[in-house]
Amino acid sequence: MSSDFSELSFGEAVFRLRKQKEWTVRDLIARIADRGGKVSPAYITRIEQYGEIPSPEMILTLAEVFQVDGEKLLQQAKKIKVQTFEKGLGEKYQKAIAQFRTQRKKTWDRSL
Amino acid sequence: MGQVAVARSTRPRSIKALAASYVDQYIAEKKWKSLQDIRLDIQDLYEMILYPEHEYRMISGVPLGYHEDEKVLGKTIPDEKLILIDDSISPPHRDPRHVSTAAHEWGHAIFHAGRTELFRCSKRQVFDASEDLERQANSFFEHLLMPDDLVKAQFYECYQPTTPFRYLGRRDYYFNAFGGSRRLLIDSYTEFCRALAYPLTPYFSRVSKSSLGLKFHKLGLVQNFTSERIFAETTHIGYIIREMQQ
Repeated sequence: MSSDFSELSFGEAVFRLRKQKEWTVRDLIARIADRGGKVSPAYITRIEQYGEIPSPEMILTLAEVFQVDGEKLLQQAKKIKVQTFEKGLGEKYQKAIAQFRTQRKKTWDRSL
Repeated sequence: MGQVAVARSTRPRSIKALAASYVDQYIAEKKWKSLQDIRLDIQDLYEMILYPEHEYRMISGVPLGYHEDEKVLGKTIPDEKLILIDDSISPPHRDPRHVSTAAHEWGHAIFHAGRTELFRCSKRQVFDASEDLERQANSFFEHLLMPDDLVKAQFYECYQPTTPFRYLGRRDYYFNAFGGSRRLLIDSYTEFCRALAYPLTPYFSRVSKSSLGLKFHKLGLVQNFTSERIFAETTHIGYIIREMQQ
């Protein structure tokens, strides 16, 4: 089942799985609580809407709740985490270069 | 599941009661005990209460363009359960318009969910509130972010007045708030209300000073001893003038 969601972001996948089961957020929280997890509604919002990646234990609990392959869900989360990290790294690199250039220009102007 | 169905059927009808129930829920979940702790925040309210309850997505920074020659600030699409906020408005905590627009759109999303049309809210539509729907949405915004009891409590906590504040025309006024004092030359009743609202906006999700000042006026915390009308000089808040006349 989770193979259908491999193209989506993690939050979107959780959202669609929840919609398939026709659960509300509170239902999902109740089911996670049955398996010993403790989450707040705000946490589910952040996962679904702001792309927050939960801990591996929580991902496995979610997979158990939704009755999907936990390994695939973990892999997907990992992929997204690596992607966001690389994207952030690229942005930081660009910023560093820009800063270096402005600094160099300043020193050049001062020397004139 | 049965409990949920019962809760929905017995949902309070009035806008004020519903907004108050959300605020109570929010304060209970935050586990705030004293008055000083309570700080309403639209983003937190969205994450903790509004999204789990209604599942509307809220996206800011979307170019919404113009509709009938007016800038569209917010848009609600009930079919797709989506709230959009224009990119001319800065992110939350920077721009008070973000707070008011978001809360206004939430009002549409909650009270007009069954409708098929989409709501495009321009500045004139929001502030004029000539239509009932816009007025309902504004009312939701008011009661969600500025609950009567909380505004009164914070006002008394901050200023500790023995009598209501009186505006007596153009002159110097002293404002004592949180142990500090400042003297200001006040020109108009509007400015008087805004100066009083200034130290208290952080408690109410950083709504604009004008909104909070108007709330003070509505609650009778401030009294006008002149013939001036509140917000008469700012034309875009025409709805306030209309409400005063009623």
